[in-house]
Amino acid sequence: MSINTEATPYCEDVIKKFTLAAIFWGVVGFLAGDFIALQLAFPVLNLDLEWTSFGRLRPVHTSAVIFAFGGNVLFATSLYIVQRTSRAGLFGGEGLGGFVFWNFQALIVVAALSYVLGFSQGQEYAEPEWWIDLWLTVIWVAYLIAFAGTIMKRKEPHIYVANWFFFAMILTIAMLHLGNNLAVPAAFFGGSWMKSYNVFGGVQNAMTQWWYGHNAVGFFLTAGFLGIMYYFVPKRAERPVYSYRLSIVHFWALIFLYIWAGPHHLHYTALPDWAQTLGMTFSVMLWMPSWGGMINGLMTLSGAWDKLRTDPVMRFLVSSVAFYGMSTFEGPMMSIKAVNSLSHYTDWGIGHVHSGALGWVAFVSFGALYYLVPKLWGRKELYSLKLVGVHFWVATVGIVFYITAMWISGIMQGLMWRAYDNLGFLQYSFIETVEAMRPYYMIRALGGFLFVLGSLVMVYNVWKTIKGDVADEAYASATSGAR
Amino acid sequence: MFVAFVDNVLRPFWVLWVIMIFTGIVFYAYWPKNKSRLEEYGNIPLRDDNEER
Repeated sequence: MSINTEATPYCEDVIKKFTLAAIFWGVVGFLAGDFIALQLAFPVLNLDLEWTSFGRLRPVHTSAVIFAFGGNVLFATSLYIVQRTSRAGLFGGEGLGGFVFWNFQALIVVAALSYVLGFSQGQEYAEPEWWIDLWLTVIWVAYLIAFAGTIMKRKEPHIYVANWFFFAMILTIAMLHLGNNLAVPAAFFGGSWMKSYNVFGGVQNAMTQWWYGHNAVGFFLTAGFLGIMYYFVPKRAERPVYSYRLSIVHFWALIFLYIWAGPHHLHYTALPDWAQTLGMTFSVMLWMPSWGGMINGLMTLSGAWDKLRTDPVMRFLVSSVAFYGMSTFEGPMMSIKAVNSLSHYTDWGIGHVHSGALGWVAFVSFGALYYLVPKLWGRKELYSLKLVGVHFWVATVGIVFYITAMWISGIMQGLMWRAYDNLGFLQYSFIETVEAMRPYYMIRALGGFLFVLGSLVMVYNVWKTIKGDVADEAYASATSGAR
Repeated sequence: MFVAFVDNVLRPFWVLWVIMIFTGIVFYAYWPKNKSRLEEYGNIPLRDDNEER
């Protein structure tokens, strides 16, 4: 075809910036997470200062890993993939890309500062106050224009499936962000510029919050990162996705079902029973598209399973899909009311979130970043694939420590809360459950530390790769020859 | 007219038409005639490398 013979000028400077920012914020976010994990085990680390208390640092951690790390990964990969699979340069070029980049980084800093100084809307994962939300809206619309504009000037007639997932992510996040942040600023009535009141109250507020909260998981941390899977797994494995037809069904099933799953965060609350059951039912049905997607990702390796052994970057990508399968089995199970009555409000939830966040989102991101860095900086391969292997095992052991500690701690906590003595009194006081959980908090902090350590190995590897060094020439050429 | 149609027909029977649309998508995706064309799209990412810059 003639379209393949012409060189396409891809915008890659902005992709490089997003890549480096993702790695930087990743390390910051992981460190913040491990620090607050240590605070739970050793409360003295709250330092008796309001700015460093758990309550203020926790949103710093969640926002840093989800939006700063995850967001920059999504910007980098989606804008890279949309150019490649459209065979067109970025719409708006480096200018529009740079606008999104610098505003987004500045917004991260401002939002984090606002949390530390004690300002919050009180909506989980949507803590920034109203004017920061408006600023993010401008950035997001600019991103939408860059992404959609690139698709509109594509030379490839078909829009590749990865772009569908990114597009769904962009549109849904825009809707969720506007819906959950509908608030009346106190400043309009002579009050503070750092205070607003959500237009919804009570259970309506809670339902809007978890419609937002769960779909941030569904469309930001799942749909977006599935876009990454659908490009980088075939690319690294050098074979097309197992079934493109399955990917079409996967996409639409996910889109039809995910938006309804939010009420499972509100089991046994003031939310009407029918809404809770609806949320549970849709969450259980979600198991099907999730596993359809997992099968599609894993089976892409069919006939090339040896790459798991020889290529540590592939190992990151494939393990991430396996973790995706595991946490999307656990999630629907936990959404069943009977299970939820034990698991809700316990550490089990934290364990579940991190098997998805560390195992799926972070691992697929590491795989994508390790693929992107040599490509973007024009190197044949990474500085050291061996170090990628080190990163993989250190991080995997860290995740296993983390999630097993939280399973045991969470189930124990849930059982202790519901235990009665023979006179019908609660058997344990709250502080007794906290005491019982402490050893597991320490194990969790150790797991988090290993995850941070792994990410520092990545920083070193990426820095050496950009410098142009090559550590294990023989090893690198043996595997890159096969690529 | 259109608003009344949405209100009286589409809203109460949303489960039905959403299932119909989805079933339609599944049939389209797995219709034997579409197989080679759809699977060919899977090669798009594998064709984007050598012509760069």
